[in-house]
Amino acid sequence: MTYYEALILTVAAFGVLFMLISAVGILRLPDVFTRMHAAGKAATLGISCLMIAAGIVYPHYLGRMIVLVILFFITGPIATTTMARAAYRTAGSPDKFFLKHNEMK
Amino acid sequence: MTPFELGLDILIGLLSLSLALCFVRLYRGPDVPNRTVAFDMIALHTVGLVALFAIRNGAPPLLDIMLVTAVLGFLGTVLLARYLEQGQLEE
Repeated sequence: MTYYEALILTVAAFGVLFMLISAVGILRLPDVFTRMHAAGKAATLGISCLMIAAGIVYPHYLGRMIVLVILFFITGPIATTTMARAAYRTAGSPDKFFLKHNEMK
Repeated sequence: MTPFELGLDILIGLLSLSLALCFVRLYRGPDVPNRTVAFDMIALHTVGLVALFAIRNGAPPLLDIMLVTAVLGFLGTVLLARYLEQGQLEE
């Protein structure tokens, strides 16, 4: 195994590790906002590490991968914000969440 | 099988395990917002698995699929969230 392959494996393993931790968080955390917080880690750090690994393997596609990472960094927060607002408004009362501070009352 | 391919196979297995955990949340989710979060994660895992398959099988054209899958996952999530909110407002 060359150093090049070891670098690719390390970056990809870092991404997969974050995706795995985030999936465990989605399964075990208590309410929908904490689960969304866990999903955000996979949406930015995990997936961008995997894409940069793919970009290192195929340098011809590196520019496209960077565009995709930027796309994920833009769409991730939008999706999370929309989901959080929908979850808050469909819940009825905010008492069922573990909220310490609530600005939407 | 070279050590590089073996390592990539292990990574694909771990990512599939993580995808299975997301499907458990999709099945057990007490209400629709939880299932929306699980759906978002499943779309992300699809993109990651396509990336790993493209590295493992030496097929760079697969990387173009990732762009379409990413945009479709984002649109699906926003669509589900907007649908939930609209249903609530009409009542």
